Amino acid sequence: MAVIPAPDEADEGSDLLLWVLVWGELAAFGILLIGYLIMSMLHPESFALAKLHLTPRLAGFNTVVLLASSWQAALAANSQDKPGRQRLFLLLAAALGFLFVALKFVEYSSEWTAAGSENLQTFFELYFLITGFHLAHVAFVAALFVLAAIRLERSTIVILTTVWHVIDIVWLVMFPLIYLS
Amino acid sequence: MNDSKLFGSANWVLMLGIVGALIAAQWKQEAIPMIAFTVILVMTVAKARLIVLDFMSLRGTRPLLARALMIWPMFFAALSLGKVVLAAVL
Repeated sequence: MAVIPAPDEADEGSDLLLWVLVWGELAAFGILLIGYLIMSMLHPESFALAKLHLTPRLAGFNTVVLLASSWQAALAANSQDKPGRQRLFLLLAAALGFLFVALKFVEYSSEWTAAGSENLQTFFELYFLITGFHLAHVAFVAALFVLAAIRLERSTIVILTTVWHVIDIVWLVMFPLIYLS
Repeated sequence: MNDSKLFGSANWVLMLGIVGALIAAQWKQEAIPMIAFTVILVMTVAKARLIVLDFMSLRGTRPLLARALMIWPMFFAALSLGKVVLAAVL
């Protein structure tokens, strides 16, 4: 016979699941970033040359977009007893997330041609892998925000907003490491 | 956390984000000076700290978890700075 957990036990279970997810994400991105750092030290000339094709201005603007989205997500998590407000903040967070995705594609379109160059290939392979993995997270969670706005559920919103903040922190670290160092 | 405190924290986070983006935008075709890079890294850690404490509502509730989460950006900021210093020295 299935045992239905008491509400407190269920909360503890979803809380544990949330932090396993958070640390899993941080570990995955951490491994990728360490790999990037090692490769950038092994191929300093080609990495420096490849970075000339990046657009740090657009990436810097995108940082502000993601931070604004994170703020809306925090407001949504903070508005548990006001469904209308919560829905609005979730949709704003999602809209800013989609804006981030759109700007990143604009950025990719200008970098795509340089990626074909043979001596820049190592950099761009890692660059597209790391930023693409991050971008997939942004697009996926932004889409989930839209679904969460339709069906407001406390535990889902807590999980999504927490993961969103982690994705934001990962980008904050990626920006100076990949675009500026 | 109430909305006004969150608003105050968000103001700081956004301001740091805008200043960081403006500093980064000053250098397009040349390497960013080490001092500017260090300032950006310090702001990165400050932003991450505010996100962990205020956006994730961990201020005063789960100090160990908050500290552990803040170590992640600090670790990578230190590695980035170390890499730039090493490249300048060698």
